[in-house]
Amino acid sequence: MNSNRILEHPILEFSEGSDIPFSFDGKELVGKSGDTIASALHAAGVRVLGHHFKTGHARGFYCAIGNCSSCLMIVNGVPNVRVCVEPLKAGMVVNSQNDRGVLP
Amino acid sequence: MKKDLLHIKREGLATADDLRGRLPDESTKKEGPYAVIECFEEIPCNPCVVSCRFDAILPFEDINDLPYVDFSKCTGCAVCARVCPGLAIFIVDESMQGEMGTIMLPYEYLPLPEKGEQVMARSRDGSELFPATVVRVLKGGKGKTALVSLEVPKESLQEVRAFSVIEDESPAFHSSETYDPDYESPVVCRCEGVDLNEIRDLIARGYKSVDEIKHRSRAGMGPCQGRSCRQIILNELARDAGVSLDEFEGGSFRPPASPISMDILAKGGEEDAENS
Amino acid sequence: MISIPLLIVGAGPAGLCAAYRAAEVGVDVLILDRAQKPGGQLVKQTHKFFGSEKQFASTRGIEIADILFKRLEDLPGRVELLTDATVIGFYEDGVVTAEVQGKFMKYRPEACIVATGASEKTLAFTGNDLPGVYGAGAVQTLMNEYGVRPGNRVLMIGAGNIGLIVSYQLLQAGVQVAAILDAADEIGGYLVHASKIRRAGVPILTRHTVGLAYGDEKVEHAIIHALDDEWNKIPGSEQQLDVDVICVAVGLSPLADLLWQAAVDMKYIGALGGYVPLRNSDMMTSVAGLYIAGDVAGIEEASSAMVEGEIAGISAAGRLGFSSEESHLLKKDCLQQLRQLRAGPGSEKIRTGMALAGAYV
Ligand code: SF4
Ligand code: SF4
Repeated sequence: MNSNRILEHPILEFSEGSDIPFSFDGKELVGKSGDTIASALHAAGVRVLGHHFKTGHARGFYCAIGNCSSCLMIVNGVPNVRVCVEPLKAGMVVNSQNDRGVLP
Repeated sequence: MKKDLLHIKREGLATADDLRGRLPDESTKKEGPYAVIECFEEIPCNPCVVSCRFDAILPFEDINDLPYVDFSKCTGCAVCARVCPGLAIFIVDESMQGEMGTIMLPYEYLPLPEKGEQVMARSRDGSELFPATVVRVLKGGKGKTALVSLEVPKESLQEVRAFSVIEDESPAFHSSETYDPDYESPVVCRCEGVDLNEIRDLIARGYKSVDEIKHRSRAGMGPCQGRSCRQIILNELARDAGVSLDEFEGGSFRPPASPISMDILAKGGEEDAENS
Repeated sequence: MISIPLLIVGAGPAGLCAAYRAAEVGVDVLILDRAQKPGGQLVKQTHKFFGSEKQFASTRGIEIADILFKRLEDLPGRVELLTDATVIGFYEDGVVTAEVQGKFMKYRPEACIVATGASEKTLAFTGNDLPGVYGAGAVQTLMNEYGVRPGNRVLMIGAGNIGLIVSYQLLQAGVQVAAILDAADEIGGYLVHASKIRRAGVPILTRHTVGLAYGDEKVEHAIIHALDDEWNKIPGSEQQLDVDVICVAVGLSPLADLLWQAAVDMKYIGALGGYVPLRNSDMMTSVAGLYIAGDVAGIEEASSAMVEGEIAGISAAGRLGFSSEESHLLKKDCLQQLRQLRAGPGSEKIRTGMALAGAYV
């Protein structure tokens, strides 16, 4: 499942990191400590984070530093969370967002 | 840009011609290892010169100067090859008897080969030349740039500039399958989902500034505040006006926030700001 | 409301160097950075820097960040660095507002250095919003900060230094690079970077662009075209590449939102990446006490960003009444370094742009 993780690198060292369980659209996934929600999803092979409210196009992240708004998702019920900069925490409930985001 | 650089700047490849003046003469070649520096573009960079303990690289007057080796002084010690951020320095040794010489190549990939291993020698454009034996491996150490020496026939010493460890089974450059997509319009504003046709349509209808287009289409009003779309809209406006962006006047825009004066900041803000 | 002598916005190479020079002569400095981790772009740079020893040449960006943090310790002035701290607004009453680790904060600085860096330009092509079309910064972040491969096979758009460096980083992480495209007719980045990538067998196609990305809810294919001298697509030159990532590295523009708010005089200077604040050789904008440094002042290499940061730090400290005997000499030396860094034939555009912006060249 973590096939996208870089295990060996000629320059960088990545610490093993402990497992962080979370859920995405009802599926149980596991990230690593130090992940953002977006990096954990990407490592698990998830690229589509939602669909655009107007165009209906699939959305993924684009800038990964919180500049654009391409990665908005619903996290623990709160919409419009920029998952590319939101640290992953154990037990988070992450859902795709397909609308403008309505507060619960 | 110097004229004679143009061909390399198009492809990123140096030719035999570019190496002229960069290699020692035949008799010096027999005396020992020497550095070949393939750094042809004047960029602000000097670690090679600074690192050479033998003053074998001609001193720079300006940090943008090009490095030239004084082969009478170069010992082939490879200190410069280790520090060069461009990985542009190779150490060639053809002083030994017989057909074979060695070339030492900077290497920053994994896995690092071991002494005695066979690797694929490659040319400047990465194409396969022939299998070669690794004769020496200097691990990267602190700077993490490893140096790997290959045994190579003397006549190929100026061809080999890379190697690869694993058989490269990269898929073909093209795919055979062809596709005739529905041409949709590129998205300009990711936040609000506004595409290029909408923007061009507004410009054609007389909206001639970023602000007008923003209010009409909502492009730039999403959470990213126009960071991704502004440039594209400006390009379209300038193109419509038939001028370059540098001359385009209608491009300025103001965020809704009020202007401030740092003078007031400095004074502690007792007075009211009146600089709008 | 917290009154502070010097506020620095952004803890990248420019901001950190500014803080060092100001605190060195006794100014207390507050640095706010919106990221979780300070260091700006340095923390993603795995390659060795160019430049000279003064700009840490031959040291990797990631290590330079550590050096810059370390030297902020034990200075005459106290340096406080807060991350997860986004400056939101500059207000009329002299207040700077920020969201600092979830709390709304108000500061009243006597001087301010804006070193907010840049944001990436995007490219309009059909399918540019498909998942798998990523900015170059995103690819670097994912790969070098989180240790996650962006995909298996990447098409890189842009042969400037960023496109070349990120391509090399992808290869180092074990990701294939199908090709690097650039619409220009020559490689914009350093030749040594380009040659390094060619040696790995990656083609660099100048005068090419991407026309289309498509796939089932994510990038699976890209269609590229050759361009003629007028930048029009040459009919029949289409090629299809099978890639799962298209990395967009078409340049940066200064992230100057705060400076617009502060109403400093701005000018569009294409050579510097877009709208930039006008400034003097002290790196001060048209608003007295408000300084800039790094990419927000015009897109350049990190080495010049660091030197600009030093100049802004020395100047801001001087304005606040702090200087040492060496300050003057130090500033002169920095100006000299900038002149050298910008002296090469490849920096011609930068020189013209900087002259237009009022900077020292
Ligand atoms: S190989 Fe050694 S002696 Fe020769 S130029 Fe490089 S550092 Fe100097
Ligand atoms: S260190 Fe390398 S890139 Fe820099 S000038 Fe010397 S040879 Fe060129």
